[in-house]
Amino acid sequence: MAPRFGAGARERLFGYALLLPTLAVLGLVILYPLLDGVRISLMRMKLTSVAEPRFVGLQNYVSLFQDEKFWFTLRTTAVWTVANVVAQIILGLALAVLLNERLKARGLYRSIALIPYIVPSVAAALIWRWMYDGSSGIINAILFRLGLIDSYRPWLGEVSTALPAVIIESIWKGTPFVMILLLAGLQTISPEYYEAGAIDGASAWQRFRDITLPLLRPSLAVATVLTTVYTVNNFNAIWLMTQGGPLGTTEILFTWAYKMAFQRFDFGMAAAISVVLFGILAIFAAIYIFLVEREEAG
Amino acid sequence: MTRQARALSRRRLLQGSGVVAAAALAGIDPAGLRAAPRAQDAGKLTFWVISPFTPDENAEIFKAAKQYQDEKGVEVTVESTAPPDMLNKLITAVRGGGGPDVVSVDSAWNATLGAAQILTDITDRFSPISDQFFPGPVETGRYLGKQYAAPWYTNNVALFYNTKMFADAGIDSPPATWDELVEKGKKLTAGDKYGIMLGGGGFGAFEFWPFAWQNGATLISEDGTQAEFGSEAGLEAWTYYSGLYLTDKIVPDDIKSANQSWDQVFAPFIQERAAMVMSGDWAIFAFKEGNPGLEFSVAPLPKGKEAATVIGGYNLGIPASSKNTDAAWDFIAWLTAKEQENILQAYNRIQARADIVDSEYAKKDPLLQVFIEQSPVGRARASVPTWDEIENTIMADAWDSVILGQATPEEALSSAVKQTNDLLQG
Amino acid sequence: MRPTTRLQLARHLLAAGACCLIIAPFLWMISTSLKEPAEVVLREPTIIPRTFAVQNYVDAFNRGNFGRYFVNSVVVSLAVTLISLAIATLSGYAFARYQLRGGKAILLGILATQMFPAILLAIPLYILIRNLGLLNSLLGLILVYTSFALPFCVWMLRNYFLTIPKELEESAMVDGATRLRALRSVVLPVAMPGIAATGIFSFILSWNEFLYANTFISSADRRTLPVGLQSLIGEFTTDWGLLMAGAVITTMPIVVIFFFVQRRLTQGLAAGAVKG
Repeated sequence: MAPRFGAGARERLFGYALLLPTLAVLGLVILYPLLDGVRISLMRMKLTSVAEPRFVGLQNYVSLFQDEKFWFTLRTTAVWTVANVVAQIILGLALAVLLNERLKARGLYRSIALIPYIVPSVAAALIWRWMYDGSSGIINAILFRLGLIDSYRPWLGEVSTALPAVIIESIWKGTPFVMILLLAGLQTISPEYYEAGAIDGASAWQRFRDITLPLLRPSLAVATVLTTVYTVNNFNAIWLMTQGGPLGTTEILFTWAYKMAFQRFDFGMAAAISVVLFGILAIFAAIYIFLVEREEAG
Repeated sequence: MTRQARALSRRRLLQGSGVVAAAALAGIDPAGLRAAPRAQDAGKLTFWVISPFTPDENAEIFKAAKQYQDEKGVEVTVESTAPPDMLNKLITAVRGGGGPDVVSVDSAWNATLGAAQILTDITDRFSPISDQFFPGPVETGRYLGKQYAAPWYTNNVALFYNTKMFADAGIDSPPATWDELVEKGKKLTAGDKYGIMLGGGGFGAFEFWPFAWQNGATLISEDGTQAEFGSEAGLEAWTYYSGLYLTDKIVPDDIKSANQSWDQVFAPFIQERAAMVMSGDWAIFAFKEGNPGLEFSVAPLPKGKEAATVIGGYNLGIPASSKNTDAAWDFIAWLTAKEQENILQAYNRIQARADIVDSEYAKKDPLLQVFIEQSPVGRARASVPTWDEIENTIMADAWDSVILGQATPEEALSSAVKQTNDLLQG
Repeated sequence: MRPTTRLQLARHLLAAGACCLIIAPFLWMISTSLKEPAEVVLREPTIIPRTFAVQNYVDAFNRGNFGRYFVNSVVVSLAVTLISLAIATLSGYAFARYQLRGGKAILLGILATQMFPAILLAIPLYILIRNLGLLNSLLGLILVYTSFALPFCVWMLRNYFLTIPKELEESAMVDGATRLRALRSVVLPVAMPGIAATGIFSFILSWNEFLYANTFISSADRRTLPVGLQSLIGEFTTDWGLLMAGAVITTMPIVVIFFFVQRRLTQGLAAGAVKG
């Protein structure tokens, strides 16, 4: 008789054993530090102070919520995240649909379109910072030549343009990953649906709206959540282009927490900011899990 | 088993990394920041230097370490860290009980490191040789009357000017006073050309201090509790300084994005769109490399009521975690001695020793000579532990809000004073 | 022109246009890397370098020690890829094949760890890594990156295994193979596209990571490429030509690998990431 899966206590035990290495690594390197981070957020722990770290309850959170800078940074984080996610999903979807068509040289197009995803984010941020340069930047040179600006502009230095400028970089960097996820999703849609649609005489737009979009929804959900998490965590782009400036207009919670920790050495406060950020992400995690769950059930 | 033996065996156990992990999981090591110190060999020193000193394996600093070993029989391992990371690496390492025996630290970090007891008090060792150095750099190594670091190299801010642009505008000498700076700056400003380039953000804050001092203002009160740069004299200097951009309009708009690195401050000067720029000696190399045809010279900063400039540079200190304090001090004394002037000269840097003024080196390079001659009027910034935040966050934002048109100079300065006071007293 | 031909042409134009925009920054990086310092700071940048100076690359390897960083990055990325694949294969297989009680909750828990903001973990991880004695070592980075790569890997592989019929290994086991042997000799070969896609994901993640590498590594000879790249930003001035040469060196290997495996990655993802 063929051995059956999941039958018998020994079999099941073996199944759990297979999970052990994963759980051990995640427990040690993620779960434990996570809990420790929450603990640190309840302490006054400043490396530049000679006083021993001590427990202060919610004091860090109280002073955080009383700080205007927190609310301003929270808002910037929201703008940064929403703008990035919306733009990346729309552009990623457009690219995916376009490059899913039967085109000559499609493979080449796809490979090129994926380049930003594989360019290390440190390199990407530095390239863009250089392109945005207010004195020698190529973007200024081109816009000036085209007559769209009458003098070179300090894109990353001006309050009104700094945030849009870093968002554009981040969209450039992040869209290809969305594209590849959606492209993968598109490939799982059976051509029969479209053949049926073609018989009904549906237009390209109708086919997209009535067939592609609904069937792509699981992929879109996954892409949205992953992009959100990636964007909230996208420290490198902001850090290497503006360090949160000018006047804090590109500061997101992540960069702020980093500054608190590694420039001001106030680990307690930094941990508190991180925990708040975690709380916000946890909401997304819940949505993510809910969606995965539903797909599993369906 | 006796109690002591048990404790010992437990510690032994804890050395196995897996057990440490388990202990950490179980919540042992509650402070979390006091790890076992790393073993330090008495005959060896570790020296952390900033990365510009270690461009390659043949860099002068490695030769110096070798030479020291040959002379003294003590091996010095040189490890380099990028300048922006040095403070962070040092503090986290020392708090963890690790770190080097000798470290190069930016002179502006001294109070932070002294107050945190990251650096060892070296007052008694340093006092006998103190007068060999310029007073400004010595001051940067002091906090609350104690010496935490010995001056290594110094730099200060002077005025670079484009001699060709000056000649074309019919100006025969660099500005020597505040009024001349504006007057000559206006003559040089036309179309896409501007009189002078200033820095944005923290660079703008850094270069404000000379103007404040020149006008008789002070930065922070002696006891370190009050901001004094907002005084009448300070405000006057601030208004003059920001007026160069706002009202005299002799500064290009590039200033708005010149808040990340000196390159951005230098670019308009290199491109010959700005006839002057304030900077330290580190600009010389950048100018020569960026525009080999650039005709430029250096002058002392234009004078206000008195001459003054701001100094920077690096000092050498001994981290509190070092077990080799004596050997470490010997190395510092050796490295800062007159005999080792060739090391810093290889990097085109100015040794912080007073005797450099009369040295051959000072006469060799007319550009560098200006900086060396200006050294005696160089002043240290205030020695308070939160200085970095005052200069690079509060004053940087104040300066940005002025040049970005978000606040009037007066509003920005008084808000900065208030924030600084909150920080100093908080 | 026939309507379909015209449509094809429009698509080509659109795709080519998009690709031009997408690749422009990349080309600009290469162009800047081939310029001498004096050309880099021109007010009106030259699109094609005047000199095609390779000096920046020579400097990156000599002065910047990029050879060392390169080796470090390869070691870390390969190790993470192999370890995370090995561990994730076991777990993915378990999730796909065993009706484990609480299995779904565990899987969701694993997935949820992807949501933790990296900064929250940075400080405690720093302390942990130090207590383990792994500060300033590549091993510490490998451990951390593995944990970051694992959730996605487990999920991808589990989904991929689900697409493989159980009967495959059941028949092998009838012939007397143990379960692990059946996994190795029957299932893994079939799962190769999924494993490859997952491996590439881990590799890219490790190759590109900066924050932790910069926080945990203190000595120059253990830097990975992104940290080495950032270290080229000088105390006072930055040599953009050199920096861009460093960026090219950091980017190129992975771009080249990617060009060869792009198709596989999409297919692997199709079966793994989005199917659920």
